[in-house]
Amino acid sequence: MLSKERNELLTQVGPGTPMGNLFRRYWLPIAAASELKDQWTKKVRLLGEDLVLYRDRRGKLGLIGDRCAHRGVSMTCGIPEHNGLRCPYHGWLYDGDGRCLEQPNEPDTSTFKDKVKIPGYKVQELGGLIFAYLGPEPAPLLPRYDLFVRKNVVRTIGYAVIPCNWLQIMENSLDPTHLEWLHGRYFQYVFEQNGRPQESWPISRHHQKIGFDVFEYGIIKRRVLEGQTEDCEDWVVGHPVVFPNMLRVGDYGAHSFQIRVPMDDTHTYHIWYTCFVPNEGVQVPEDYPISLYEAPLKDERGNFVTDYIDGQDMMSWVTQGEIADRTTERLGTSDKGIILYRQLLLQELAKVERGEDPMCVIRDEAKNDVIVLPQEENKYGVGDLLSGIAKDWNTRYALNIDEIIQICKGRMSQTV
Amino acid sequence: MLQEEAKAALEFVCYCARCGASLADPRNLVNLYSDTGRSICFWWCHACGAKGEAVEVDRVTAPHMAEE
Ligand code: FES
Ligand SMILES: [Fe+2]
Ligand SMILES: [Zn+2]
Repeated sequence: MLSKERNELLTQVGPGTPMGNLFRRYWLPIAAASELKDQWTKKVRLLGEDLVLYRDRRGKLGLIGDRCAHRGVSMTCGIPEHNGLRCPYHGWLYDGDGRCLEQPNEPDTSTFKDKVKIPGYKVQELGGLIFAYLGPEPAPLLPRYDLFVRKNVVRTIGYAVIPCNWLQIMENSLDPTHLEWLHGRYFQYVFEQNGRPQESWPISRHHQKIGFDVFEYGIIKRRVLEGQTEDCEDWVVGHPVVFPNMLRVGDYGAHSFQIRVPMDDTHTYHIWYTCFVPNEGVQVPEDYPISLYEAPLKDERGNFVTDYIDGQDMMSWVTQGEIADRTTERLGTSDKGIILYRQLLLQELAKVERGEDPMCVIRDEAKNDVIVLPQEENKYGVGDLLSGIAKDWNTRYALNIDEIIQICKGRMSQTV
Repeated sequence: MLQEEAKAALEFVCYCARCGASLADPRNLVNLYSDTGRSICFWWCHACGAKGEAVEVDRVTAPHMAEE
């Protein structure tokens, strides 16, 4: 349980808020690179700001305020030009820094345009994602976390706009025991309703022990399930929550980042970034495309889609309320990871306020060639659990999921 | 413990045990949780970085004596 003031401080991310300032120290993914291949603009809501991501005629990406400074028309409807984006209403042209370059209907001698500026932010592409940086200069490096740069894998990118605050989504990742309930017993109940056999489901073992350690890039989560001992990989290696907003999960056959990007206080852009790892000796075709898909929260009738793991998670996040009310929560000992994460958020916020870089702000090129994160692979002692149930995860919405599995098994490497 | 009692327990810790700074500003953490029926205030001090847990002592017992 927290006080109301503390809940507000921890959840609010708009301009000028403490947590908003903390998030503005990080490169945040805002789109898949493929989204800007067949369209010129994408409307982006990020940390309470309305922005437009665009590609100019030279192919250069830009991220500027969505509202034209003249009379407020959405720049998402703008016209891409050689060196920027032009407002469709009266033709004002802006560059990637948000500087107004042209006002076609003002006198030739006018200097008015030099006084006009809208927000303009840095963008960079890595691993098929486009990242934005909204913070103070100098911008840090875009961290090259292992999955973004890993070779010989097949990637997929899933996304969802989740109508709730980012913090309750992150807290879910510090809450290992929900696995045996939400993705175990509850999943079996869904199977029961759908007439699918329940016994085969591998995730319902009881947690004997959970542990959390702060490390250089966040918090390592560990668990021991019934029937395991402390020398299992789930305990010895574990997997990390990368500060401030990314979960890494994986096994022999697939590794995944779940990135939670606060759009505003009540909406979160969620990305599932998955690398499927081929069997020993199998070469993935060069330039195999990264497929993009939406993971649905609800079906056509407005019911939560709960017959896949991420749909169950989303149901749990969203039904806590737009912003979970932590003044009425009743935490127990199994919630200690959540408390540790809250403390880490405030600790790193204190660094920002002292003028220091918080955790995971990287400026040393030598460190950034590839940042290898710890990851157990023999998951729950079952090995390639995730890839084995790729159709019970968000990845089932990738249109080419069957092909991906075939490629990774080595059955299609010649034909694709 | 009822909701109201839990709310009161959240106010049990007001100052850092190390440096004495007030924990009232929301940049400090005071987080209540329950362990085997006891309410525990986890606190973290923004001023000095100290953290700890505080439990209100309402009854003094010596359980090991019972083993005699
Ligand atoms: S049992 Fe945890 S939210 Fe209900
Ligand atoms: Fe989950
Ligand atoms: Zn102190």
